[in-house]
Amino acid sequence: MFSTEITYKHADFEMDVGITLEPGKIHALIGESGSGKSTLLRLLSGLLTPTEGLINSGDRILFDSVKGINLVPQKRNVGLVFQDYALFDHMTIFQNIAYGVSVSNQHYVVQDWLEKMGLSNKADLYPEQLSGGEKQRVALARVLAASPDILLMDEPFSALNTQLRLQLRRDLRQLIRDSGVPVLIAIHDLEEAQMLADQVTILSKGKVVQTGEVQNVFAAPNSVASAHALGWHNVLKCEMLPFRLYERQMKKPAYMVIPATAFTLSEGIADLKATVLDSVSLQFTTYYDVRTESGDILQLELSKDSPRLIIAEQYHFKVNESQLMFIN
Amino acid sequence: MIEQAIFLTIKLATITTILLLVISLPLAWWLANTRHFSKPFIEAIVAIPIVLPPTVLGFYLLVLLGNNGALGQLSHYFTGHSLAFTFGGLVIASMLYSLPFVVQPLQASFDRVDKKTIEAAYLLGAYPIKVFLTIVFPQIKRGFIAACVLGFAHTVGEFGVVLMVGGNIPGETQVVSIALYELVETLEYEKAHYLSAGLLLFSFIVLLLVYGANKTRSVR
Repeated sequence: MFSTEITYKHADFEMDVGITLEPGKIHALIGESGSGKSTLLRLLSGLLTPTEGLINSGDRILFDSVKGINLVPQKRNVGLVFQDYALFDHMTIFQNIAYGVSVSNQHYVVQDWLEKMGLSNKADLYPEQLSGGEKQRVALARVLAASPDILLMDEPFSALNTQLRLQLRRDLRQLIRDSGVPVLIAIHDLEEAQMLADQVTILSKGKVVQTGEVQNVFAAPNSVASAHALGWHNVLKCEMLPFRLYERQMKKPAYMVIPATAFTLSEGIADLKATVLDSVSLQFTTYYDVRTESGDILQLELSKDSPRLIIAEQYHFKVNESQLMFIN
Repeated sequence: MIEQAIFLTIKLATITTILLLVISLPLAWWLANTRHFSKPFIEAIVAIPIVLPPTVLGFYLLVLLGNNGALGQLSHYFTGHSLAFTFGGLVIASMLYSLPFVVQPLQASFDRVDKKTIEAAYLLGAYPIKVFLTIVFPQIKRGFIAACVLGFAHTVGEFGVVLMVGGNIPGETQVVSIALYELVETLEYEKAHYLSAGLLLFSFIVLLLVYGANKTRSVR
């Protein structure tokens, strides 16, 4: 079990983060750019020093501001996979993976990781001779070969194409399950976070706004900041919408999250009147940006079968209440 | 006379280059990584010998290293004589004169070092000396070679500063450039030709070796 409760004075805001990671589980760290995701990884790995707090890795104390403990990165046994991999370009793939492994069992450990990563025939090549996906595997193997107590990854898939992401995501999940190492991944692709992670923490301006099991968090954002971080565009104050939509709630909620797919065009009674601002057509659906009478900008997704909406025209919409999420 | 001057020049350039590397490596690293307000001042001070006439630098050094100068008096206190017109004085003068030619290539190389690779090495358990030798040095190798060659060659080629600080004492301060000047003064043109051609060839071979080494490395 890895747990942390730290504060740090960031250039733009005061960070205050508490996170617990479980062995063999992948914990995704999501939030808008500049929310403090990468800074948190640097704080945990010892590349930055927290202002106050505690970082525990199992029984070991990595940082304790009260007791004056602050282990250097070399002693933390925390693995970090950098966004751009930070491979040693002047070393072969074998030498890269061997860098953090003790000399006594180096050959065996490196060969093992080369095999696990499907890189056995690349051992004598240099990083510049590898594809993006292979570099990613080397970076991951280099960190895991050093047997870290916890694995941190900073946007590990951002430089890869879709096909490679799928493959690496699958491999990573398997590796993590096998190794039993707790993993914290800073990630901006929400779909990826859902597919990869077991748990998720949402950061906003250096603070945890929501944390929990991935399915629970994505299905029920607990604040406007959380809803925005989860990629929900349409967050409206309830009083802007008809009572019908939230009458079943025990207590009148403050905000309502309306998925873009919850809207249908209506000829008669409407929940919402809005003017079309812009549209983008994809293969099966069309996305519309619309402005409500209260001035809110919403995003709608209508199927290609729906009549085509004209920009600057006002339309009536019904909202499918079964898709709604509420924030108290 | 010529052999003595050549030996003295090589000795001076070698000692100067080694001492300059010892000073310049940490200084260049600091300049490449600091955001301290004093950075432009330090950079300007380091670069002064590039723009200052060598005689001006030589004059001030002569004052500083002479009997009434601070360093001269300090030397007198410990050794019984000042540093002006001595080999030790020449080394100090050469170090100042060649300082920018060693610091600047090193600083430019340190600037290009990927800082993430250093952090990655720390996190893999490596301590600073191992990180410098295995991660940083391979990335600055070209700059290091350039710094060595430029520092050495610039010391071999100096004239004004050496003349002001060291004078022309055979075996003590008479380096090749001063010996050449004396040969021309005494109208010994044949010897002057040999010495000049020798220096020209030396410079060419050194540069050829550097460019050759860099080319070999850039292939990989």
